[in-house]
Amino acid sequence: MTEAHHHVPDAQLLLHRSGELPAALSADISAHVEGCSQCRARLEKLESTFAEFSTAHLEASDMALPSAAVARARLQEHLAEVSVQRGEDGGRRRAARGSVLLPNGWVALVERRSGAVLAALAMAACLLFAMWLHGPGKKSYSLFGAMSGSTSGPFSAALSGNQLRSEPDLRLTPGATLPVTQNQVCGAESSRITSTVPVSLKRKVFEEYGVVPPQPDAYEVDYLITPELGGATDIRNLWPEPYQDTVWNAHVKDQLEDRLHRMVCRGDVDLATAQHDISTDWIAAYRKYFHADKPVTDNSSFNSAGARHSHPLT
Amino acid sequence: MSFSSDSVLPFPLSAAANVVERAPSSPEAEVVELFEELRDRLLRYLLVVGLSAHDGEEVIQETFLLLFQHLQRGKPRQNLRGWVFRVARNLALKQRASNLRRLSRLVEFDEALLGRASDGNPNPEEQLQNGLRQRRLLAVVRALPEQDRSCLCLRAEGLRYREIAGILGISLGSVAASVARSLARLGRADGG
Repeated sequence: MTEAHHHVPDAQLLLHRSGELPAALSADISAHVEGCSQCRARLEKLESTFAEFSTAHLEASDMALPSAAVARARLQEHLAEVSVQRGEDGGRRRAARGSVLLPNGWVALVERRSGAVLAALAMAACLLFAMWLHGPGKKSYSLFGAMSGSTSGPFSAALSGNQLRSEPDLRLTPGATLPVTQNQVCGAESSRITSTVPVSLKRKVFEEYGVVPPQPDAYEVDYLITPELGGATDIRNLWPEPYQDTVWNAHVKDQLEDRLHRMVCRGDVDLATAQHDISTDWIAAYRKYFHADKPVTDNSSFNSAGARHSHPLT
Repeated sequence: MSFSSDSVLPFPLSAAANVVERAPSSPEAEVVELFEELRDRLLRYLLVVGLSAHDGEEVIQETFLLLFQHLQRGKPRQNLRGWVFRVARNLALKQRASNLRRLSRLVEFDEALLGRASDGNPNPEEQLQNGLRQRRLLAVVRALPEQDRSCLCLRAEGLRYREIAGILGISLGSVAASVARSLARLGRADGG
């Protein structure tokens, strides 16, 4: 291909300099570049530009790098934790939580053995009560959640492997919120809402749902009630949501979250209602707020980055 | 366990790639060793991809825990460096997408995401001149498509074109063409 009188394209010059071309081709290019001042000049320019960028890149980012020693210590801690867990019973579930704090300080107790039906009823009652207490336009909202009864045993079996669905198990993931107001969720302060789930918590969520080992490539550990709507970074508000392979996947839920947030901030829906609707049955909520039976295909602009559709590899 | 490399990488890497081949004392030790070697480079890369330092750190922690599991399951161990970058990148893109959704309504979005290099500290004259050039270069890079930015930055972090191709899941030719294109654009910005 590379005849002596043809100039070498930039890309080939780069690969040539990096020693990543087949020997024969590289020899041709060497011979050409030696006799071609134009190609030599281009190569020099490429290299000097690259060197300048590299310096700028390193200097600019290094200012922002937090301490590596702290990060390493954290990793070692995580590793030790993982190693210990491997030695223990993999089916072990987190301890039961039986109490829920109502907004005015009441504590309701849910009998451990009363099981999921009662827990669900109790939760529905609490939600209705909380909504009735607050009504639209009030400033603070309930902390709901913590409703699951004993979580030992059967859930992990029922939810093993690839059978995870688009909706969370409300016994494990009833939703949990922070006591925030509409102003906080919509105002300037919302920039401070952080949405990072710590690695250790993600692992617990996977474990709780019986996805052992974790499969972060297949599931997003997602908020049931998004932080934009006051959702808490709490195991009761997190579940492994499939990225792909279901009609009602994480991308669709993102649409709902955006719409609900806008509606809350416009005052079309009050925050407690939005939290309630998304936490009890987000698919029903989607149908309700989009007036559609199926996901609306036209997605919003952030999907143009394609990032949500990437396939992580393992 | 099968030893097919294609589950991790689309093609075998050159022998010249920096491969960790010795058998360390334990998987934990190996993971920590690789962490020490790659952490800064990964974090710089993740910043370029658009993560905050905090999110970048989280992504790196998760990546190395996955690496630990990868090793424990006896998965292929050629070019773990490429594996680490690739997994971190995928996690980062997910994280970024969810951040973008949450940030997109904010006025200060551009400032938060793009203003990283522009600290407010005044510099002495020459440094200022230098800093301005650097900032112009970095501004050009930030305006590049994500893939071009990744190629250029990974190259600056010392990865070979072949490795970058494996990390991004594109061809060797595409990586080289991308870097060439970006350098041409940077060259023009530099001159002007």
